[in-house]
Amino acid sequence: MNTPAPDLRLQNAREWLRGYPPGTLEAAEDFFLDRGATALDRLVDGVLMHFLPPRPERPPFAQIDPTAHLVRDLGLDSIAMVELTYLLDVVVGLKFSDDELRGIVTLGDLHRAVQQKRASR
Amino acid sequence: MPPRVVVTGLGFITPIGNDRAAVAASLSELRHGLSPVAWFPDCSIKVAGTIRDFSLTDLNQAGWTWPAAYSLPRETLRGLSPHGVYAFCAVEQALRESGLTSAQLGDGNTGLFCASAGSPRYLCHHMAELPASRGARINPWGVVRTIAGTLNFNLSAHYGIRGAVAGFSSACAASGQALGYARDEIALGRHRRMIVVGAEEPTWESLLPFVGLRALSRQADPILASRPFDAQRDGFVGSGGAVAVVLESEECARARGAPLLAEFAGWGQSADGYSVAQSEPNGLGIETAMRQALRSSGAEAAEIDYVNAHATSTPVGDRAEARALLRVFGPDGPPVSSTKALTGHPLSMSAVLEAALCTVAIQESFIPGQAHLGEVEPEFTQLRLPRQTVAQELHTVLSNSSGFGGSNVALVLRAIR
Repeated sequence: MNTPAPDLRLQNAREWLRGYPPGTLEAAEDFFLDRGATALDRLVDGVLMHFLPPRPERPPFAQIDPTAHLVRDLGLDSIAMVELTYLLDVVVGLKFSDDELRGIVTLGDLHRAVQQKRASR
Repeated sequence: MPPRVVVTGLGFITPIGNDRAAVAASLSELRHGLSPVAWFPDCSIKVAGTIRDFSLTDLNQAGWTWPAAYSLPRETLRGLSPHGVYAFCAVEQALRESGLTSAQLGDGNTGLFCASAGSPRYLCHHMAELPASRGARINPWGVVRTIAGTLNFNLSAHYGIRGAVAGFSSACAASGQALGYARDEIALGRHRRMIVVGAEEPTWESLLPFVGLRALSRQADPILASRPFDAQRDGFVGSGGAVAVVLESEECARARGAPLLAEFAGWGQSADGYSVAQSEPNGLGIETAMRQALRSSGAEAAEIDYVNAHATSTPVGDRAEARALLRVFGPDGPPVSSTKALTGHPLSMSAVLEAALCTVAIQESFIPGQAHLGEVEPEFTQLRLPRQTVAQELHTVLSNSSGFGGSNVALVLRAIR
């Protein structure tokens, strides 16, 4: 697969990540420029935070355990899961099959799946 | 005796105002809501009915703004196109006026009927991803944001409505049928209340296709562009926005102390069976719809105090309707006006807009004048077309709508006695 140059990818990310939590776009930039191993996880967290519906009882995102169930505990619905993976596709080019998507149940699963997908590219 | 059906709430996001008070003032003072548009250099559309206080043209929802009074959660916004945002705001107004709670909306006795052409602008945007990605990628919201049922999908989910939910796609008659069938749901005892919504987007993607049919006015001056029944009229002016109406059984509305704004007394419908896009020249279809509406409401033609005509300012359509009006009501018929001179023609939402305007006119006791009327076409001189608003108590009014394929709808509203 031909990967566009970092500046074109960043330009694309700027458009797609408008209105996302602070730090999300910077994480994308760090990822494109290969700055720091945590960039992709921070990007995923920013995207996820954007998609989570407001729930007063939910702890701050940084305190959420990796075992938290994305649907049951965090309130993500199935369409938001599809939307999240669509966003990861258009911003960082990571594509998930239906089977792979079904295997993503917890926050930890999501991070693992994204890292594995990157490593396999 | 079937339940009487009453109007208990109205909501407006329209070119002539974004709430009932603003709309009533524009309507009685004959202030139009048409503005110059410059979508492209030398664009063939020079004027349209546009919506103020909303900015929804950005292809990314992050760039959208709407009045702060409306709290629109992201879980709802994500499935909406711009006219869905207008519709949400109009429904919020109507529910507030009607005094309905979310528990009542989810009681299984409340339904929702909508009319919309979908969102051509966002349909084009989302569909463009398909060839670009060879079919591998499309925004998951691409379908529900854009197709004609988008209003009913989104609003029913947001409000937790569990009664009948459906969309109507009969073009410019669509929200008239939505109203009529919603009335029947209550009159047949199937539902206690129905919410009816019409919404459209006044964008070049929605309106320029009508240039291909030569249906739009080429005028740049709003006053010359939308002039129903005028001898020099040359086409309609497109517009959009959203209107919501709450219909309820009178018994249910009285029991909860809801405002009784008007009775929705009856309706009729027909088809021309003539042309896919052009009115049957003698208005035989709209005549049938009007006669059915009178019969359905138990009203004599002589009881009608005002007719809100469909007349969009096209040469053929206005003439067909005028001929039908003269046959149904005779030369001494009621005052007639087309409020599209002020609002433009908002396509599928026009019937619900005009039913809501008639309700306002009944409530505030006036007949909206026929704005922008210069020289009346000679054949119409027997129509009573008041050039100014007339202060008058209204008991019974009739409102017409017609759409592609010759679908015709006539609605009869009465003052609450």
